[in-house]
Parts: sequence; structure tokens; C-alpha cells
Amino acid sequence: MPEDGGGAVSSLEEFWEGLEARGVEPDLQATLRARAGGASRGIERVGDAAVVTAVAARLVQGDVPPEDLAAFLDAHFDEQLGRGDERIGVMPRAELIPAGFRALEAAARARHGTGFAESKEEDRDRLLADAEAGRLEGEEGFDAAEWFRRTRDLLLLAYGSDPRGMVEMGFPGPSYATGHVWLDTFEVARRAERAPGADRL
Amino acid sequence: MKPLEFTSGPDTMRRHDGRVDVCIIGCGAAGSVLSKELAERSWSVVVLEAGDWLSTDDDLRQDEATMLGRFDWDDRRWLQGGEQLELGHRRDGRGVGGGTLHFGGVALRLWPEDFERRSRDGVGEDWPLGYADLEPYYDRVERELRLSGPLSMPWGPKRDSYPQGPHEQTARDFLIAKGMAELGIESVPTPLAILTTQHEGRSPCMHYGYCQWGCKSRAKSSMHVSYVPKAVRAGAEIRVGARATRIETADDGRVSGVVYVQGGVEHRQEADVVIVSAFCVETPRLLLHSATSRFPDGLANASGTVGRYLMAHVADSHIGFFDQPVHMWSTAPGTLLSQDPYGSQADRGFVGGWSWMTASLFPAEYAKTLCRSGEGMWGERLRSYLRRYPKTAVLGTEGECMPAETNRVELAEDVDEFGVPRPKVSFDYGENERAMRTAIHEQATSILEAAGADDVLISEGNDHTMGGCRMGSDPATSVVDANLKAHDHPNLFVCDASVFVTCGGAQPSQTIMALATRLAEHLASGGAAAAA
Repeated sequence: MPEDGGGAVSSLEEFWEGLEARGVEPDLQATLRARAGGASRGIERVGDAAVVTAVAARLVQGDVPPEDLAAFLDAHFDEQLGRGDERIGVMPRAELIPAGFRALEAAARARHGTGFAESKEEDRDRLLADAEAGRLEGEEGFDAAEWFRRTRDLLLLAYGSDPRGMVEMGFPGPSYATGHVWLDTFEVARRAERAPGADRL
Repeated sequence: MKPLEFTSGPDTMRRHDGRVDVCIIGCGAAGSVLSKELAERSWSVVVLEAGDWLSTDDDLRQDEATMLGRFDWDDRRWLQGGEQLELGHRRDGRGVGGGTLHFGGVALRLWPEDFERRSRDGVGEDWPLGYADLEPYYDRVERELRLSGPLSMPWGPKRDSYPQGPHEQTARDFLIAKGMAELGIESVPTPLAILTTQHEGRSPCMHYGYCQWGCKSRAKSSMHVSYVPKAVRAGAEIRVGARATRIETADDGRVSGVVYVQGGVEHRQEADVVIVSAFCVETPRLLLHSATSRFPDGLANASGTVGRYLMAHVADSHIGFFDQPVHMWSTAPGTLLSQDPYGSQADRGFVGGWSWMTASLFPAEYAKTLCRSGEGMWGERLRSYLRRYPKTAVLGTEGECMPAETNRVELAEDVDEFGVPRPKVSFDYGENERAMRTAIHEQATSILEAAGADDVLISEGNDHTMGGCRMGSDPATSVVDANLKAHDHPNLFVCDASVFVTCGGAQPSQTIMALATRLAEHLASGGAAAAA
């Protein structure tokens, strides 16, 4: 839960109870439960599982395990997800993201004589900071800063759409009927009576 | 009363065979208004919409990841230039309703001075029409959408009161209004195309907050719950999954129809009038791709300006961190407005201005926005900010962008699955936007600190693509005239934000709809006959 309080939810149990009480669509509830249930698949496409997981663990620290963040990345790194823009001169994201993990691994071996996942924590962070600043070499068309940004964005999409991440952030999930602070009680009660689709009845 | 979405939709829609009076490409803010206004005047109307027809109940879900790409134009587009132009998600809509599926409902007019930027400030260009020409159409759109808004607007031209009362103020609004007041900045509840009382069977706002992921209560006047059902009721046909690939021309320079692909099969729709309303990247792309031996540079492009003068609002997010719960996710995003800094003002060192408005971010987007505030936002530092989410408020901007010839849409060398060259978009801000951005950041920080924020992060961004097929009186420097007719073709019209000459510091949707209402009236009152 939020470190200094103030969230609208404080545990996963409370989160699920809230969804049920608010009549959130069963398919969406199932989707959210599946996300919070952990990775249903491994890391098969985007890069070496140990490297991808180690990157996730350094970039996005929180209550969603890095293995699950990495699995989300592996499943979606080559999808548009609402954005189709690509930078001229930079390899498309479907190639860029795997190339970044290869570049990170190569840099770790060149600098430290060991793979990224086996490197010391401070060495891993230095490599990632270099990537963020665009100082990581890679294949032709590779842009380290673009890789860092796109990879982190995807990991954060995994985190922010996972109920474990939502609860850590104090967010109660979809379609809440209450939880609006500083709103008069009449309005809160009125809203609670009106679930989505109620006007169809 | 049931919402019209239930009774006037794809199941009850009339189908047209053969030639029609008008074929409209794109069913967004402009295409939806045009289809209703023309169908109600007994025109035979076919709208070609590349996306799907989403059902509020069945297809919209209050979840960021689920909705990504559901109504976004996320085809591959090539970008270059210094500003990372934001396209796709929450910028370019695809589906019946277009960008109104994701818009936040902020419903503002341009100001009279916005139409006279060249005359007043010596930069940009003047529009070939003035505020007075659009005012009655703004009025009609606002009545049709039953806008909610404050009792009076302290800024801009005088206007009648809004049809519905304002939305309730929230914790976020109270805090930011307090900060503004301490600095002498006036604020009001934002005019919104979101109902505060029931209308035509649609619910008042339920404060779900997910306006930009698709409104579940139908309170937000997205086109698919407002104008489109009325267009269908009046006999318009909306063909979905219909991707326009080329506009055809006859030997005399008139357009004869539109080629489109639906279900993998190529079709041709003949029409007396063709209106392109595919927004600011796809409209110029389609015109450029429709080149013929007679029009080798593309349709409507004798001036060479198709694709040029693209604009995008300076839309930075200023994130304030407070010591009390704010729960910014709890209502529509833009519920508090100030236009004190709007328009050109003396001694600021730049032309144009901006609007302030509150914003809200759901967890994934909040996290992503945090990360745009500068390097080093990851690991432990990021986590500490993620965990402050409930006590966060966001102040956003819509800052005016001056038109620049070099900001443009062109055709790339590679093609998409329909054989149409992909768009290549070049964009950067100029000195004016950069100077404005500095002023925005300084004042936003002051507002949030005056509101009680103990920390402020600034995340730069842009929003609302506009321009690319600007209107003008001179065929040598513009694409369409004041009635949105292409200078080079008597029966081809362009109607969307691409015709904007300048963009002001306000959301474009109301101006798009006003232009569409005006065009429909023009066509129905003789403009079409003139085109014929």
C-alpha cells in the first residue's frame, strides 16, 4: 500500500471485494485476477530470461514480481498497444527491444567479464543508466535511449495494470462506486445506485 | 427512455446501393456531425469508417491495458524531428466516434483573436473566416451536446449560459483552484461535453473517471452515443471496417468516388460529393496517395501545402504531490479550467498562450508520465513516487503551437497492408513554443506550490494534432476555402482539424463540430449545387 497512506484500497482482498461489490463486469474481473495470478508463461521471445528478469527487477521495483513483469514484456513487446509510431533511423520496436537485451548482455560481459544477470547490483544499475543516457552500443539502428524508454514503458504497463501494482499504489480498480474524497454524501449514494448499464433496465 | 444507442445502431441501419449524395471518409467528430446534419436534410449518406462500431456495454471496459488499441489508430507511422510527437493512443481515434471515444470532453471555443493571428501578431496566418462566422454553429453544437459548464465564463467572447450545470468540484479542483487564487488566477468548472443531468435516455456522469478509455455511463457525448444514432435514424449508413485507400477523379477534375477495402475486398463508392474527415495524418495521406497523371502531387495539392503546417498543442503535465488524499482518478479529467494565460499578452516574449486544466492519470499512465520528468526515474526512486499516487494532482496545459511549413505529413517509401504508403511525419516545436513552455513550467510550479504541493515534477508532452490541409482564401497557399471546398476540385471537401489555420490554446473538438455543422448547412443550402 502507499507508504504514507491515503490510498483507496489497502489489500488485494479488499480490492477483489470492491470489484464484486461494485458489479464490475465478470470478464474484467477474470482478466484482473489472471494478471494478479502471476505469469502463465515464461520468457520465450524477447531475450534471455535471466537478463530480461534482471532488467525488470532493477527498473520497476514493487509488489509485482519481476518474473511477471518480464513475462508481460515477452508477450507484448511486438504489439502496437495503441501506438504505432516509430522513429526514422531507429529499428522498429519489435527488433529494438530484443536488441537492447543483447546489447546489455554484451556490455556486461565486456565491462565486467560476466553476464548482466550475474553482475553486481551497482554494475547493473550503471549499465542501465548508460542505456537511459543513450551510451550503450548496439547493432545498426539500435538506439539505447529509445530502447530504455520503450522497455520501461512496457514494464510499467505490466505493473500498473496488475492489481498487485494497483494496490501498492492505493488504486481501487475500475468502476468504483465510492472512494471519491471530498464529495458530498448525497452524490456518493446516488452514484452507488447506478452501476454501468443500470439505465438499460 | 432508452439511450438512442440501443435503438438506432448497426442493426437498424439503412443500406445504400449505388451512387449516393455524399460519401464521408471517417466517422469521428466531423464525420458524425456531417452524417447527421446531412441525413436529416434527406441526403443519402455513406460514411466509411476504418474502425469498429463499439458497444458501450459490451466493448468498453474500465481498464487501461484492455482498452489499449481498441479505438486507437495505431498503424505504423514514421516520425522524425526534435519533438516526440504523440500519435495513436488518445490522439488519433479509430472506430465509430473517432477521437471522441477517447476525448476528455473538454468543450471550448476558439477566441476571435485566434482567427486573426497574422493580423494581430504578425505570425502564423489568418483564417478565411472569423469567429462571428462560426459562433452560431458553436451554439448549435453546444445545445445538441447539452454541454455542462459554469454559469458564466470569465474569458473569451460573450456567450449564453451552458445547457447544463457544471460538474461537481473535486479534491483536485479545490486544491488547484486554491493555488491559482493565491496567485490571482481565476478558475471555473470546465465546460464539458459530459452530462450532469439525464438527456435522451443517457445517464448523468457517474464519476467513473475513465472518460478517455471509453465512457461506461454514456454521460460523455462521444459521437457514438450522440450524433451517430441520430444520423442512423435519419437514414445514414455507417460502413465499419471500411478502409479508404484512394479518392478517384474524373477527367474534369471532379472527384467521382472513393475506393475502399472492407473484409479484404476492394469496393468503390460513387458519390456526388466526397468529404474527407480522416484527421490530420490520414487526411493528407489519402489526398497525397490519390495522385493521378493530372494531379501528380496529389489531390487538392496544386499549392503544395497538403500535409504542411501541422500543429500540436504544448501539453505538459505538472504533477504536484500533497500530504492529503486527492484521488485524482475519481472524476472526468479536465474539471477545472483557467484561461487567464490564454492568447497573446504583453511582455511575455512569445505569441499566443494557453489554457490550464486539471488532468487525471490512471496507474500505468501515471507511471509512464512520471518517467518523462527526467532521467533516473526508475528503481527505488520511481517506486517512492508510485506510492504517492493517491496524494497526487496533475495540472495540464493546452499551449498554442504556431504553424510551421516544415511540420508536415509526407508519404514514406514503404506501404501498409492495403498498398498505401505509410505516413512520414516531421515535427518540432519552434522558439515560440519553447519560450511558452518555460513560462508554463514556472507558473505551474508556482500554482502547485501555492496549493500546498511539497514536490512538483514536470513531464513534457504534446496533444491534439491539427493542420495539414489548412483553409485559406488564396489557392496558392492553402488547400480548402472558407467553405472547406478544395480549391482544385469542385466537389471535394475536407472537414476535420486538418483545416485549422492556427490552433489557439484550447481543445479542438468543438471547433471541428462547428465547422462540420456549418459545412452541412452550406452544402444543403446550395453549396452542393454549386459544386455540381
